[in-house]
Amino acid sequence: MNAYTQSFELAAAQGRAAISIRGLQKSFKPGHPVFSGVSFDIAAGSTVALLGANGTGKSTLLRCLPRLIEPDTGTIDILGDFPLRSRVALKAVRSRIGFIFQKHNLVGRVSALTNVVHGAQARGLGFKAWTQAFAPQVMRQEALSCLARVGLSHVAGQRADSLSGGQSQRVAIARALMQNPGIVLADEPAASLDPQAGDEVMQLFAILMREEKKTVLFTSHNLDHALAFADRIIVIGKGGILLDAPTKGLKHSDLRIFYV
Amino acid sequence: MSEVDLPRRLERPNALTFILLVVVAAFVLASFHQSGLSAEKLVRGFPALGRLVEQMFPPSIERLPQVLTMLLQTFMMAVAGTLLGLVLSVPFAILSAPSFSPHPVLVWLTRGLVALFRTVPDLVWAIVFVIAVGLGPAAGVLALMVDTIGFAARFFAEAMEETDKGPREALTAMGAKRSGIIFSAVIPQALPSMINTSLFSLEKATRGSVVLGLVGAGGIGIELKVALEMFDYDQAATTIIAIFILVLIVERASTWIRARVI
Repeated sequence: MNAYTQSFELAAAQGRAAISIRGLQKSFKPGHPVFSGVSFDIAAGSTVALLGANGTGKSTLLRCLPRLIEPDTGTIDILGDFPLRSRVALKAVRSRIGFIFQKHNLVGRVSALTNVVHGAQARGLGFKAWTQAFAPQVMRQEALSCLARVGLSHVAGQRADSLSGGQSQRVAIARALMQNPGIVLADEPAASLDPQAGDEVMQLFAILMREEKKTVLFTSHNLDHALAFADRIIVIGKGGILLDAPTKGLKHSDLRIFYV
Repeated sequence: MSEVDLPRRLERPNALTFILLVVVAAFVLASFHQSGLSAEKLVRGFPALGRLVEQMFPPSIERLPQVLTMLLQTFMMAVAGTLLGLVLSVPFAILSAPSFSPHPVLVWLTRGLVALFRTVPDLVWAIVFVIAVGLGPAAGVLALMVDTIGFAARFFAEAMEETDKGPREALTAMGAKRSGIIFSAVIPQALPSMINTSLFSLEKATRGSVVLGLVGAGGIGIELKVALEMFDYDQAATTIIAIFILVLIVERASTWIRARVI
């Protein structure tokens, strides 16, 4: 366990927030904010589902956290680090945030193992993490064990573009495990999969994230996934937060009304 | 039957389009006139061409060993020049692609330089390098290198820009360095297109290397020049056939590699 992982575990033990968002606003057209004044904290080690109808800004909000999208106003605090100061500081904060994308975002022409090795680029290891061929034996073994944890060690040498959608998303999860971030953001991780593969991927994702004590924020349109895997649900819409409540006690019907 | 009339096969051009068409047609006619090309000249030229072909055949094999040696040297020049050019094309491509360049000024500068490399003909580069490094294959290799950068760097940059942004976004999100993003997410995706461009570069350099000898930059061109100047047309024919076979072999090999690798 490194000092960084310890800092997250300490924060979790103290009940501190891993993510703290205040007054966040983002508009793509002047005068028409997708959301504004969005504020919430996410406790270290907890899992939060971010729900909302299409176009309410779930993916945009998620991308604002590692500043893949620049917010207009507001502050984002990642365990005390405020990723605004410099390019180097921003990279350091990004290295603590894993991101699982709806479309997996793997490099198709390289092997599953190389895609997992890419996760080590967050550690600033230079060319060693460009491909499994350059990686030291220890790193290759680590990547293989990450693949084994998602049940895909047998496809390590297979090209990523030859994998099924479910397998691709599991490789993306393995890449995030290799990165070993404190926070994992997942943008509709099961949306591009068939219902069965989607359920399997979400189950695996939730189990691994709990085992690793990660702080998780995921978006979804699947209310069952939100109710089953999240400790807390935040619903956004009409430019702000419509609901922010613990999952316990919430029912399907309590959430469905936000989609009418 | 539909109530709506079929649209016209050809639309009547508006006044401005009509004037433009007339201007373009006039320019094309003036170009032919200015070149002095006429049916009479063509008719007069055919017998002369026939006499030349007659003197070329049968080709002389007297200097075949020298021709083959020069041909090998020419191909080696092409390989060395292309390889150097391709290696240097990668940094030029990265610096000239707006998505990967560290600064917009570098994009502007490298694009300008690559355009200069491309627009100046390889024969002119060969003259420049003959002046700089003296007569011989070294000047030819440098000329082919510059010509390859002008061709390949532009296509490499375009191939890199066209890659799927998803993997780049994934690596950016985890705080990967620019070099890591380029070499692990962008270049693997652009590789088929880059291999294609590299093979075309080798074909182009092989054809280009043949004429570089005309200005003293090494290779078989000097053999051809001497044969033509000495009116040894049968000797020139051997050289031309040898060049044709080399270019054909390179093109066939390139097609074969392209079909298997890409």
